[in-house]
Amino acid sequence: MSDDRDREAVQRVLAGDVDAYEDIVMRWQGPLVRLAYRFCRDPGRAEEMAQDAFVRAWRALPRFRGESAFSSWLFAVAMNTYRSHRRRHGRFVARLEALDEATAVADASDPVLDFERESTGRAVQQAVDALPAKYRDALVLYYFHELDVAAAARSLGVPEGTLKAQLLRGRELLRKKLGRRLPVGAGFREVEA
Amino acid sequence: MKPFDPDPRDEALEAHLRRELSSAPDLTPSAAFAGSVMRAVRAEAALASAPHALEFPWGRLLPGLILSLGLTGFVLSRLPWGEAADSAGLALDRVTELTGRLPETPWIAPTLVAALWVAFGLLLAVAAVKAATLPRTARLEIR
Repeated sequence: MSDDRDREAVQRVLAGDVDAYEDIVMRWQGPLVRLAYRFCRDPGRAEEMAQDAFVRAWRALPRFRGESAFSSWLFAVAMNTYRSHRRRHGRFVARLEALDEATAVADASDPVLDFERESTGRAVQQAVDALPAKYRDALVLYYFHELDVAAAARSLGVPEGTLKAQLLRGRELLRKKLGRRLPVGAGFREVEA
Repeated sequence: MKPFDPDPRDEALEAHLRRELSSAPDLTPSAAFAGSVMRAVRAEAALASAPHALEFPWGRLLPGLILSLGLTGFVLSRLPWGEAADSAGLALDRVTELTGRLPETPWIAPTLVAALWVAFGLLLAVAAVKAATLPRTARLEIR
């Protein structure tokens, strides 16, 4: 349904109706800004990056051949935009997210446990940021698309098998980097031999 | 000994990854975001619809260059070099005659003549490029 509306808007834009692009922007602004946020951890910069992605997508619209869903194509354009932002600006410094902090405080039934969880979470985030780009992008896209390998692979423009291999390798590297910071004993289950 | 499945560290890692990467932060674009994007897009559209600048015909440059080099080679091969040497000698005589003495550097006269020709050629090239871009400027002014 959404794809039909996107395609219709694309047709109108290509026919010269620039205002039709606003439909696309309104529909996809949230996901694109949130995806950008995964790369920069700064809401203001995320909007700048998403705007750049929308403008680049507008420029590239005549090249959209309609072979895949418009959203996949748009995410692929956005990913390229965000990667080039990262190349230009280097690694973004992860910022403490006020919202996360507020949520953490509100949910804190055990302050010590909560602090550990928060601290490990930040370590995981930093370890992800420090991964080589292809593994980091694979992980970010995979979780962004709610564990949908096919959607993440389309957004990255790689075959699903490649994405799976990158996810596997990315997790291996994270395990090595994080080492003992990952708690053993919380949340696992025992199974009978 | 009971085996663990999956590796508890994997499970912990997975839980953290989901929390850090999957949990969508309550981040909604600002109210002005869509307007800002559309302003940028309209500016791009205005640029795209503006008349394109007349570009230098680089595509024609190579064949033109080959043709002119061929022609130059042909002309040079046909030149009476003996007479040219005489002319250079005459030029030197003329300089001597005008100044009343032989120049300290007798090679300077033919070099000067050659330099003047090169300068003339460059001037001609600049004038040609200017002339090629002139209609574009004129057209813009008419608009």
